[in-house]
Amino acid sequence: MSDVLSGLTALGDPYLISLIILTTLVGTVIGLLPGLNATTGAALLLPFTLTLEPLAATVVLATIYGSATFAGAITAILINTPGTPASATTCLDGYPLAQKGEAGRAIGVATVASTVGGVCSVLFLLFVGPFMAGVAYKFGPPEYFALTLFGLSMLATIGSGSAVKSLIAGAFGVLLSTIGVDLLTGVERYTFGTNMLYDGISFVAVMIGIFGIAELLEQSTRLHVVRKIVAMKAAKLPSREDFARIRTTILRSTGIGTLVGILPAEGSTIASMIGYNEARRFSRHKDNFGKGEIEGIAASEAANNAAVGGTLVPTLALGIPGSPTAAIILAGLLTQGVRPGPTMFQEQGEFLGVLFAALLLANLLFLALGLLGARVFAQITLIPVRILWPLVFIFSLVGAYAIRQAPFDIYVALCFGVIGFLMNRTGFSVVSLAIGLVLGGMIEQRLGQSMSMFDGNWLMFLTRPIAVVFFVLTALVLFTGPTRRGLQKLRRSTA
Amino acid sequence: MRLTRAARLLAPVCLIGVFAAIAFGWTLTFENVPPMLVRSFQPSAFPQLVCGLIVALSILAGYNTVRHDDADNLDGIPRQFYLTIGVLIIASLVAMTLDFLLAMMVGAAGIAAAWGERRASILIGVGLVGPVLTFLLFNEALQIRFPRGVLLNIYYGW
Repeated sequence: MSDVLSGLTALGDPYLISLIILTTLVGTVIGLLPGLNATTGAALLLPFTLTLEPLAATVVLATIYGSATFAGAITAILINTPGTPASATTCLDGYPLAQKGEAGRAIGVATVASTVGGVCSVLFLLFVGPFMAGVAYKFGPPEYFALTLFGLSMLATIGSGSAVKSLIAGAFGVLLSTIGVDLLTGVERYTFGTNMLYDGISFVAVMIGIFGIAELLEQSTRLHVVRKIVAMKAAKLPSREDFARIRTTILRSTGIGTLVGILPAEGSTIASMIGYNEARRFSRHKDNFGKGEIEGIAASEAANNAAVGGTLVPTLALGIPGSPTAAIILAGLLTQGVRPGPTMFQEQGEFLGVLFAALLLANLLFLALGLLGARVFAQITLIPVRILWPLVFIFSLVGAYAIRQAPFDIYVALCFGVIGFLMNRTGFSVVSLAIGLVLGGMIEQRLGQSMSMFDGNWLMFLTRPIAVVFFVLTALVLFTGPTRRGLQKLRRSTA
Repeated sequence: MRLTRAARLLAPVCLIGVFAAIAFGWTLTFENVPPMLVRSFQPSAFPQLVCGLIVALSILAGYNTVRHDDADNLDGIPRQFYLTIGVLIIASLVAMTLDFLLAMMVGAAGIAAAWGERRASILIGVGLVGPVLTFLLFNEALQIRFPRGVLLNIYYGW
């Protein structure tokens, strides 16, 4: 707690404050633009963080994550197009309510729910992160291997398509991570004799490709879509009656979002879906869902913003990304020379304190932005795609190049743009690919260390209880239909 | 017709299976290190494990695809998509042979044009002003040097 207090003190730095305000605005704009989401935004802005101090860079990426997730609600309510996938369920009730002439009320409910969800999850991160890090101290390579394997198995629940295809995409990502010179032995793997692949394939270039360029190609197939904004006077805070109606829903969804966020590989999207479904299940106004029920808006928004803090728990405490955007934040931290893990909570408490304080401040900024600026921000969604996407193309090229200053990475980004487009179209999850790519190096390293410890005897894994627990969880995810199919059914029912 | 559809649905998983099989074959060309230097397993072992897993999953996915008659979403791809792909290829070639900044200009203006933009002011805005401002931002503010080419040689000096 003292670290957060010192973090709050550090926020007195005008530079850091301006950075948070600026990135909250930028993240909000990214979240408003259909097609761009928190992941794409973080990938495109990662090069900008290169020249910043590690702390400032992390604050920028985390703030972008939170604000883009929040802003998706505005477009969901006003133009029935979720700015981010995590706001898809907000459309279900937000847009009908807006059509009834109550857009301001819908935005107000979404904003309050987002803020409460976001603030609670940051507080949760503050208290649970050190506890999780404490548990992680007991982890050796076998436990980390089992945990990473569990994280990869969770890919089976990602995406609306087949679980097997998601796992293939994840395995493809892991395979990509093996490209380059093996650091332990110095053996070249899949370098094809070119030194451009010695250091492996650029994670950022792949991310820009599969999220930025692939979406550009996807947008080229949707040029006929016309967007119209529902008229709105002004956003307003929920009335006392409204608040009484949604408070339990907000708290429930906040809990769901935070817990779902903690699960490796899951993120805001599935959190909002579960939050929405649970709200409908417990509501006294079930019949109103889908027709403009404020509980539906609150459930979706509280859950997806709560998941932001939740996803950062495993990312910071264990070095396992809780979502694709968290994977980019992790890549950003590693690029900056910051190594997340249990030691971070003891050795870099002040760093985390500033990060938590920045996230809290960003969440309060959402409240102001949502209530005061929603009407203005909504206009941003009407930027013609013929102007917006060429600019995204420019940033994609520069972003892919800037990290390693290697022209080869531009071609990597473009190739993975086409691959990402085809994957999306054929039911292979690009999110799985991204997470597989991040976790690939870790899982190989930890498997190698474990096998060294065990002198090559696989059965020795069974002597490690924590590892066995994660193996059992992995088996449950992969082989028990109810777990996997339940999540997928849920996703389809809200699609 | 049914066969054609099945073949089309199976094509992606077959392609991935073949790709993984080739990647597996390629691992056989990796150098092996002497046993005393191997701390855990040979450098080729892990990629082989992953390739084997992908092949196995591809077979399972193929079975699922036929059994559930999975739908793909490759129908209805409009002309603009292919034009955009063409623009990306041209931009890549320009970046490779002529100049990075020029590639950004060609790419951005090309995409706008391929998507139906005909107003000269917009094309100049996205094709000239956008790339130049982005270049200046990264080059001057973030101190990132771009590869030299016909245009950037003028800026950086010969």
